[in-house]
Amino acid sequence: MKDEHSTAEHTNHTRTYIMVFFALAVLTGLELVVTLIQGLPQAPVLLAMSAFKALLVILFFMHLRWDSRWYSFIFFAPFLLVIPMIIVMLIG
Amino acid sequence: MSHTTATTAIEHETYTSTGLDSRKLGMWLFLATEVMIFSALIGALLNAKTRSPADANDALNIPITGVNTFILIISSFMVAMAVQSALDNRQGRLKFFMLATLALGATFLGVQIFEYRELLHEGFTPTTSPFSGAFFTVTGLHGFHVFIGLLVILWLLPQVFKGRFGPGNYMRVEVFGLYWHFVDIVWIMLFTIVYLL
Repeated sequence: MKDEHSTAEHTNHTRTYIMVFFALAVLTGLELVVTLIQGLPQAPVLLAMSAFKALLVILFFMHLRWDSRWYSFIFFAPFLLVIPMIIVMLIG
Repeated sequence: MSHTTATTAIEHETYTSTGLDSRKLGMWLFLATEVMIFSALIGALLNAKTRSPADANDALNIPITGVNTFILIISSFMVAMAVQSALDNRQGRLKFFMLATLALGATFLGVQIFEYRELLHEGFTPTTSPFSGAFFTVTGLHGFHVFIGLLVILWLLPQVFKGRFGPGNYMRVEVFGLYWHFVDIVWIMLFTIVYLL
């Protein structure tokens, strides 16, 4: 288990951050467009798009893509409970 | 906890008993609990939505909130660049990006407060429907998180302007960044679930 960053070296991720930002901007705009399209299964499309946006932030802005797998485990483990809970909440 | 001896106490500090920086590990563990609390409230909101009129969220202003979502996304980008600036020892950029994050976060909160006032004026109150109650609860908790984040930035800014942070000492900025990105993620999901669905 080791953190990626050390005082000796670090990678410049500026270009990645810029690309991710533009992707987030485009996706946010597309979400608003989707709400205007009739006949489209909006709920699954919108949820998938927002989940993908969240994943971009998590992987790149929050560095999970480059950091120790332990951080990924800690963050994603709760979803094992979250997903069944949401399903139960929706069923009512 | 191990420290390398150095002429300056701040440089090259490490805090770990696991190989992972304890400060960063602590923040990730905290964010895991935040996943739980927001998921529980979003689940309750989804349930409340099924028990409210189909047009329960018609009162909500999608265009303004869409812009507000974009503002928060920009602020997340600013924080990511702030961390990179600290790693690159670009002090001017670090100051700019931290100030930008503060300004954008404050703008987001301001727009939220404006929207709350409009909604209350139109009769969309915490007691109007199960959905409206859940709406104010979840967005209110999120707004409170944004407010706390702004206080943390105000605490960090004097240290930023004193040149405290650099390649050997950036963890406070990174740990704050993790918190701020999480707040952004929550809003990304909330915007879709609350406003668009």
